Amino acid sequence: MESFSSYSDAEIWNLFRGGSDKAYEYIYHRHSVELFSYGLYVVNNRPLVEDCMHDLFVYLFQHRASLGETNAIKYYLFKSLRRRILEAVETRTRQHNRGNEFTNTLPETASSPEEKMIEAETSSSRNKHLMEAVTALPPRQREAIFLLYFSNLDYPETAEIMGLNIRTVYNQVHTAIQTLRKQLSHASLLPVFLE
Amino acid sequence: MYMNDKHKLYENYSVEDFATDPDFVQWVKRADPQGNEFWKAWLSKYPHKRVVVEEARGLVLSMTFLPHPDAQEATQNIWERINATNRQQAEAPPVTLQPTRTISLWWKAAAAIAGILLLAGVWLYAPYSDKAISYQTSFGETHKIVLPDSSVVTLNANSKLTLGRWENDREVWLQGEAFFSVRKKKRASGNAEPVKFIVHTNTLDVNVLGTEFTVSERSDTRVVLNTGKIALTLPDKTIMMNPGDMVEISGRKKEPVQRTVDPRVYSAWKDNEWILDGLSLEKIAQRIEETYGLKVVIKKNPDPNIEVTGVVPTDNLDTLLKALSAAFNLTFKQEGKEVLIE
Repeated sequence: MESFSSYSDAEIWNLFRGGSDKAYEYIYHRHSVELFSYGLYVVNNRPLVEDCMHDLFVYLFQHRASLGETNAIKYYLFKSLRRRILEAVETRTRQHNRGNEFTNTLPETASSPEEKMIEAETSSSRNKHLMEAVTALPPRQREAIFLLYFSNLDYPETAEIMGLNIRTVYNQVHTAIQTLRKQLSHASLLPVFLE
Repeated sequence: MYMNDKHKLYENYSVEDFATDPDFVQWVKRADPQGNEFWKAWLSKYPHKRVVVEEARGLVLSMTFLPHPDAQEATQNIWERINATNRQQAEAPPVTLQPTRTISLWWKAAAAIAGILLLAGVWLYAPYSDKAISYQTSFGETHKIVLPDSSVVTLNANSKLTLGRWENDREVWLQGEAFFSVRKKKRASGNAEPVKFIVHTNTLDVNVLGTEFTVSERSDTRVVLNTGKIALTLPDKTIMMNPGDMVEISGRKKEPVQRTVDPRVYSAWKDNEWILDGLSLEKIAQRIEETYGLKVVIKKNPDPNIEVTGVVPTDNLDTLLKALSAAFNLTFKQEGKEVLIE
C-alpha cells in the first residue's frame, strides 16, 4: 500500500479505473477518515453518513471502468459524498415528512471511558476550544472552514463543492474567522517565529 | 481583497483578511522559501503590521484537521461492509445496484440508468482518449461488451479486456477468454483496405478484418475461428486461419498446433452452455477451474469406451455439476473451494 504514496492522484485514479484492487483500497484508506469527518459536518446523522460512504465506494467499484479522469481524488470524493448525503436527506425528508436533519451541532464526542482517555491524551485544550468554536458556527460557515482549513482545498474547489460562488464562500469564511478569532482569543495560540 | 490578486493592499489587511487570504494561508501551511522571502521583506517594510501577521498566522496554524473520535473504527466497519457488497455483486450481473438500507428504490433505479449512460458515454469517448479503459469479469460471470465500432465482445469468466488506441487500427488487449464478433470498418479516407482489428495477448496477436472467433489466453493459448478469416502473428511466424480452424499453443511445447474443430464447442460458453463433444475430462476440469476459480480433483476417470456428447447449461455451478455427473456417469460435487470428481 505504501508504494502508492509516490504516485500522483491522476496515476492512482487510472490504476483504480484499470482494475487495481490495491489502488481502490489505497484510495479508501487514504481518504476515509477525513471523508467520514466531513460527512458529519454536512449532516449530523452518523448512520446516514456511513450508508452514503458505503454506497459511494460501491458505486465507484462497480463503475470504475467508466469513470472519468481526475487529478484531485479528495475533491472528487468530497463532492460525490456531499451530493449523496443531500439526496439521501431530501429523500428521507420527503418520505417521512419530517423536519430538516441539518443541525448546528457536531456529533456527540466520544462516550466510552477508553475513548475519553485517548481523547484527553491526544487533544490539547486548544483543540477542544477550536472544536467547540467551529461546532458553534452556522452550517455553511462550518463546512467552508472544514474544506478550506482542515482539508486544505482551495477557494474554487470549496465553492464548487458547496455550489456557491467564490465570493460568497469568501464572505462566509471571513465571517467565520472573525467569530473564531473572538472565541479563541482566550486560548493560547501557537508561538510564531518569523525571524 | 481575495479577488484583486495583483493589487493586494496587504498594509490595510486585518487579522481576518490575512487569515482568509489564499496566498497567506498557503504560505503559513507550506512555509515555502519563496513565501518566507516575500513576507520577511514585507514585514521589514511594514514593521507595525507584525502583530497582525503573527496573530493571523497563529490562527491559521491552530486550524488543523481533527478527525471525529470514532472515525478509525467507523471507517474500518464501513470498509468491511463495502467489501461484502462488492463480493456479493460480483456474483450478480454488472451495472445493477444492490438496494441498501438508506436510499429508496427509485433513486437506485435512477443511479443505475445514470451508470449505464455513463458507460455508453465513455465508450463513445474512448477512441479519442489515450487512457486505457478496461472491463473485467470475476469467476462465474460473463459480460457482453459493445465496442465503439459496434463490434461485440463476450468476455468469459475471470477475464479482462483493455481497450487501446482507436486512431488508425482498432486494438484491444485480452487476458483470459473472449468471443469476438468484429464488424468490418472502412477507412474514412476511402482507402480500399478496411480498418484492422487486433487482439493482443501475451503469446500472440490476432489480426482481423471482420469475423467471429474465440481467443483464450489462460494456461494454454487457443484461437478458434467461426467465420471469416484471421491471421495470427507470433514472434517467429504468421498463421492464416480459415473457419473451423483451431490453433492451440500449450504451456510446455510452445509450438502452435493447428487442427479442424467444431468452433461452436469453443464459443458455446457465451450462450451459457458448454458443448461436451470431443472434450476430455481434463479439459472440462481445466474449464471449471478457470471459470469458477475452484480447484478440481479427479479421483476417478470415466470409462474410456463411453463417448461423451451433449450440451450442459452453465447458468449456475450446481446445475452444471449435476449435468456433468449425468454425462460422464461420475459424481461431480463441490466441497468448499474444491470440486471432486469420483
